[in-house]
Amino acid sequence: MEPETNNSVNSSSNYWPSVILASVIFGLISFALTIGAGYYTINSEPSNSVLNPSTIVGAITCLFTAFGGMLAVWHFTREKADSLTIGKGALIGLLTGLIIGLLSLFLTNIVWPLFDPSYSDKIIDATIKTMQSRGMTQEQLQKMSDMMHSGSPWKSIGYAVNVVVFAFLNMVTGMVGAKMFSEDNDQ
Amino acid sequence: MLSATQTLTKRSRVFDRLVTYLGILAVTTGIFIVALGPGLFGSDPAFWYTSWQRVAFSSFCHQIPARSYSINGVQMAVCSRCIGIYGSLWIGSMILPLAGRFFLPTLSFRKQLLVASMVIIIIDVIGCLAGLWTDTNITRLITGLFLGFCTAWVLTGNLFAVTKQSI
Repeated sequence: MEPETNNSVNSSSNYWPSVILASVIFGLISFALTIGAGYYTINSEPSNSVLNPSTIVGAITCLFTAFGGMLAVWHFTREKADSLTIGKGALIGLLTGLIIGLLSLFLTNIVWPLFDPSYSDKIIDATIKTMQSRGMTQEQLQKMSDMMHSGSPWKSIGYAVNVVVFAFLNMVTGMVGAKMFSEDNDQ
Repeated sequence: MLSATQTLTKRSRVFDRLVTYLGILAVTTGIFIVALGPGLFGSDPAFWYTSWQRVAFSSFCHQIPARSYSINGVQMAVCSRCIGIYGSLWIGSMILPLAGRFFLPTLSFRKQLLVASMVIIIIDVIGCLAGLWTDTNITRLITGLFLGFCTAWVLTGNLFAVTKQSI
């Protein structure tokens, strides 16, 4: 790929501190946003309004959690090596995204229910009320409710794919980060 | 004349670039298909909320119905801006490496374009929230397309470009 230089020799040094740092920061932010938006949904009246605090937070933070890979690469190039290949950036981004996804999932679905065991049920009820206000028919609501309360694996599959999407999107931003911050890639 | 070692190094470099390109293409294709949502597979609108596609993107997008497109009457898994980003990232990944053989601006220009595309989205969001203007699905789609296109150009623009090293 890219030609080896004296600087890029350093790119083989340990990238884990950068990966862990970016993962923890973005994992906690992702967890806080999920829980915050969840409680807002629970405590507010069902509304289809576009401008409310939840949607404003959503609009601002849209895709924000995909930038963990870029942060990790930036930190790595700043601390350990001036340059790294696009492949190395992809690896750092992939690992960062994987950890962000797993950490966020763990905190939201395993740790938080220990503090508020009824959180999941409250979210389901609030969601059904919101969908009702959006004009879903009674039959559709019933179908949705049955699906949410059934033992169907939709949520598990969704969360698994969520972690994969976390990994892939952070991989892309990691590659972009390698192009943006690495001195080697200027051609 | 190239020595055997130089020829092997050159082949190895071409192989690495091809693997990187195919990797980017596979990832962007997969993300785009999932982002299109359950409507692509003819799902019932009642199952949108409980679809794995929606859950998969719930951490990345607000998924507001009024700000999203639909397929077969079912809302996509992401908003109009995000589908623009993923769509153009996918299309750009396919087209731009080939286009790069004929026309390729410098990396610093492509980086500036990428930053500009992000700034445009930030201005659009802030202006909309401040009530200065109202954006639509079309404007969100266009700004998303621009960001995805610029990202693809930075990533894949020079994968197949003719450079001094490859001559």
